[in-house]
Amino acid sequence: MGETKKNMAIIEIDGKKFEAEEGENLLQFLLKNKFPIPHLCYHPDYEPAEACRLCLVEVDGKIKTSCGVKIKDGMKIITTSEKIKKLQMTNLRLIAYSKLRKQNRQKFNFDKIIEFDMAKCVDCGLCIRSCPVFAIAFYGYGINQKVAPTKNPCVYCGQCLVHCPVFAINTDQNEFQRIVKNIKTKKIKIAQVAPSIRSSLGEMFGYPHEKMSGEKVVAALKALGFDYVFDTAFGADFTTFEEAKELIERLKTGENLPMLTSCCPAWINYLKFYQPELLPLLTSVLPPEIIAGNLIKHYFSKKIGVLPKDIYLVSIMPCTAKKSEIRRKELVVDGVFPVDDVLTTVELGTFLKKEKIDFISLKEISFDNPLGEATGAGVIFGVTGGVMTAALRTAYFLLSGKNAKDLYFEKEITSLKGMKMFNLELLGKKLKVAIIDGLKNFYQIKDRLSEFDYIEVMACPGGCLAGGGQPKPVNSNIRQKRREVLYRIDKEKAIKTSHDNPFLKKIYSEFLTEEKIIHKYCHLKH
Amino acid sequence: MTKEEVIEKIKFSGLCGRGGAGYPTGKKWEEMYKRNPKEIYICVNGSEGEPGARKDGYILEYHLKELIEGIKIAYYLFPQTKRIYLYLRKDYFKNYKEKVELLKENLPLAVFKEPGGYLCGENTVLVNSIEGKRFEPRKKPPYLSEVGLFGKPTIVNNIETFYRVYQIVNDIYENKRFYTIGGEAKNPGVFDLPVDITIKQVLMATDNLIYENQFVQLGGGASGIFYTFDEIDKQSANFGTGVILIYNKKTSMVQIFKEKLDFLIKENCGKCTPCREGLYFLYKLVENNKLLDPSLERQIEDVIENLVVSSFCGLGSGAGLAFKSLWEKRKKIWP
Repeated sequence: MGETKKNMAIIEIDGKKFEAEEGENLLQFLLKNKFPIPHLCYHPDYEPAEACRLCLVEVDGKIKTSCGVKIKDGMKIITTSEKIKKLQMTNLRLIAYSKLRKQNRQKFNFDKIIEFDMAKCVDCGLCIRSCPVFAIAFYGYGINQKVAPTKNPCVYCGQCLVHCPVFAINTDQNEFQRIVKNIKTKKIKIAQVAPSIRSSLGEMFGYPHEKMSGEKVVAALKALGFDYVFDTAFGADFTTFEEAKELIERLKTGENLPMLTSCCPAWINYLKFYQPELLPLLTSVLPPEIIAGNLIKHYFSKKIGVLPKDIYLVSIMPCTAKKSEIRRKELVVDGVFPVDDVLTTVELGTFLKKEKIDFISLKEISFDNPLGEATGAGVIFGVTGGVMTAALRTAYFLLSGKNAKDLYFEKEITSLKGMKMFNLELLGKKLKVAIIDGLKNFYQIKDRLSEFDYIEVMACPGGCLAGGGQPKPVNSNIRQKRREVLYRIDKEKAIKTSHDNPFLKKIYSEFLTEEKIIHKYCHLKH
Repeated sequence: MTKEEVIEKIKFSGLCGRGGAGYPTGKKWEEMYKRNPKEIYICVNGSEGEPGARKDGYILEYHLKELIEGIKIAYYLFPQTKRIYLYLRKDYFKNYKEKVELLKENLPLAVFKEPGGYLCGENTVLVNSIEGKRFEPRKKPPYLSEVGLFGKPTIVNNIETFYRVYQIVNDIYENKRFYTIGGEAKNPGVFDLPVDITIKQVLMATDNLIYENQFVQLGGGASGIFYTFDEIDKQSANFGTGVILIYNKKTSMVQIFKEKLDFLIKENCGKCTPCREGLYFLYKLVENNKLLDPSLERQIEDVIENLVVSSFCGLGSGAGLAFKSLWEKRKKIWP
């Protein structure tokens, strides 16, 4: 059988005929067709809650919340009647009126990383639905209802933040001010920029999702006073190279399988807090940001003749959990942390706006060298599946001495909702790998880990490109557009495999010359 | 008696659920019987959260054996029942749990202590609360008869409904229901009277006839409809949980609003805007002495209408209808 064709439904909206898919969500269809339906508690990522009662329409004469209606053939919908308008306005006014009792509510925060301003909360419940670990919940009833932390520790993925419709959830603003002050006062300031920022920072200044603006990001950071700006994707090439070596080693010995990726800090937090027994399965290779930090502080510092402790290194990340990762004491090398502070994409955008730096009119500047040029493999780390694809490209090369023909390993992929599994030949044996898109989906394979050899987990659906530090809104369309940007960069890069990066080769021959040194800067036993 | 005969009898009796919504019991049970799912749950709702209602307590006190017999009939129809939950509000649980345990024999029945308040009486909230979830209504469809407790098809009926089923099957049903009379009544209490009589007839039969300076709320203290003295001889008393509360005109509308709102702003689940915020808006008006401000009339009417029309569940619209009826009749009651 070929593709099963979905049933079409002809519906009438405000007297006009439309063709829709049978069973499609009515609110989504209305929004897609530019009907301005107000809504707060609906997000296409989750099941509708039908709580805010703003998206009311008349369906065959009955008043319904359109987010909870599935389209059926012959439906008659009215969106503009006086009655509907009045009800929508009343609910909107009531939500505004609720500020009166909420104004004195306390803020709470998760470890000075994610901050909840309960005075702004509109009880939509999207944060609760987005949380992969049930770290927040509604408490109390009626007018005493409040969102509050549960006993479950937060993994700082920040999905609550990107799904909150009213900016009640933010990164910790005191911390943000502290970092801003540091940037203004420290002497030697270096920034590194994660691959996913390339398209998303521009969104905050009106660029379309698909527009690349990596060089503008560099220019913006220089305008803020950073002396050097490096590409975190370059660190990703080191992660890839080391991770491929470790994968081969583990496959040879058959021990510690499946190997789990370690570049998503929310995922590591999840393991630390909830399943510490799995920590030994993590690859010992450090995430790109941390390796890049080590190289900047201990290798690049020598090039410019300064001490590692005198460098103030800020990472620009699409991620809130990175803020927790850089605080880990185990990461300290020779008395200094690899990275001093993390700014999220949104924080950087806010900072630029406050400084009145006009992003659009900035002249483009390239990343600094010798830590600037990354391969395509390094860039796709920002997409779910990218880490694994990059590592497999290099593992293939290390085993066979040549690069694979299909660099995307797209054969035999079985897709489930939120995860991909596929088999491939490596070392003459079948390798079963899984890519988990969104921490919630890890629960699907939690009890069958032994079936796999290699598992990548990204806590945020879509990967870093839709991380907790990225601009709002985020939905499957926007994720797709941001994904295309990163894959386009990969396709356009002459070098798509980490092991072929000439700068990487140079650093291995100049600096990372012995196993001991490599381990010091690129590995950590979890 | 065969199962088909039992169902036929219940259907023929015209029995409607006595929890408030009034869905035909025979139809509900027949549908489940025909579908015949592998496993089902039965919940016997004794939450009795409507302010003023006491009839479930009355049945537990005076007709407990008959209630258990009624539940047995349901179990006879549905032997695939995994568990029967007798869901009791806290005071009923305390007083009757032991007695039920002694009477239940081999029924797979568990007496369940209601963990919350008023809103747990709503069937989908009840199911959520047994599952240990937050007390929040579920969206229908799917109906509980399809996807109910722990995902299984579930029958939820009020305590009185099971008691009446016992009467029907034993041919002693006289088409009666329990009325709880309260408020400023001369002779308050629970009374067993015919279903199809007017409010006035109920009040007469129970020696509670009201005077011109009185009015009533029919159905329950939170979601009951208000009727003036002139209306009681036309209005059927068969509504909601069968509560009739009697009020005196000396009580002002503001006082009644206040009493209801003090209860409702804490007892609503908090999920939807019309209920959580609409009730809060009205509450603040009362608090700031603005309920009778003529310039706010339109706004008050909008909020009440919104509560009726756009609430997520029946509790919200029920409360809305209560306020709406009082508001609309205010000039008649307090000319």
